[in-house]
Amino acid sequence: MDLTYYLSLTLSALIAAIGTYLFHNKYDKVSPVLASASLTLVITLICHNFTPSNGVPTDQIPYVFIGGSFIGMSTRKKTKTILNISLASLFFSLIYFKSSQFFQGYGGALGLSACISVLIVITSSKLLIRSKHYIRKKRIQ
Amino acid sequence: MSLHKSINLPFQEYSFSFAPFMKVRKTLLYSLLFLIAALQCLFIGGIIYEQQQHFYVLPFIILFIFLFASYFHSYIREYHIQYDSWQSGIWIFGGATMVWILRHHLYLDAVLATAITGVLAGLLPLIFRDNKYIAALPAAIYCGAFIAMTNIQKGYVFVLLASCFCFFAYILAKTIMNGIGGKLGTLAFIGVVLAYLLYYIVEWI
Repeated sequence: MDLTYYLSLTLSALIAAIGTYLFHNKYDKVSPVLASASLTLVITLICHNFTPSNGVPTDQIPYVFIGGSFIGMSTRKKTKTILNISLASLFFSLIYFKSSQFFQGYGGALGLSACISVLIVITSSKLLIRSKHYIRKKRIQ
Repeated sequence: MSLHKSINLPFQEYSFSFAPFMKVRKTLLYSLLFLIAALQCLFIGGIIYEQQQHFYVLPFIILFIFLFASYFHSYIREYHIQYDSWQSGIWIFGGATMVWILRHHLYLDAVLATAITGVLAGLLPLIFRDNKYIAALPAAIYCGAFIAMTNIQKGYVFVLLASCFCFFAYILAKTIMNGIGGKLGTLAFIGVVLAYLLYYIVEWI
């Protein structure tokens, strides 16, 4: 697996997450489900016309894309910034590359990976904010 | 025992003044939370176990620690006991069946079948505007669609069984992980894992 393979899949997850997030947060009438499914449909139809070549795995991009779009289904209230969404998509890619063989083929595994990524990002950003407040408080004292 | 039921809403809210019922409902809710946490830890734990010989296991250990910390941050709070209605949850079976048909009769790819189902489900609230019942359907249908994405070759009965487990989890999970992406996939994963566990137990017996 060369660098192009990892980069193309990571980029797919990133674009999926940010695209879905912006799509359903910008347009009120578009639900997260519609945002995720519609973008995934477009990408899947495009990828079906290309065979994997030059290290770009067009057969796997739809799977990574739909998984990334699950991250983008998060609400603004929980994830706050696009940076958090982007980080979550990177964590998702990491989990996807090394996902366990035991859960191979299980339905919902992509969603579970996305959920794990989002939870980690939300927690780490809140811990970061709390530690900043704590350090500031200590400096004042 | 007094019962108050709200009508014509996508969810039903029951307020029992009979304490044991509340205790059972709370137990069910926390059991579901525990199951979600256990499966997520198992998922990351599986990666750590398989990659333990390699240096890049370290990021996954850090991810596991943060995931564990997220449970103490997100889970330890007072939950408002509220269930989703079975009338919207039942569409999980619809989503699963549709994707299963698209995959096994039209021979579509799993992602393509799920995306088509999701788009059709997502368009329903736009067609039937101001209908609160229809507004709740896309999530249930999309959740069911993920179940049929599974590549475990056990037939339609497996999909139905997984949908059953997912249905109960979906109804219970009304107040859990709202606004967090991947919630529907997690519930579908629970259904698939429990169905597979049941198959395994039956085969073992």
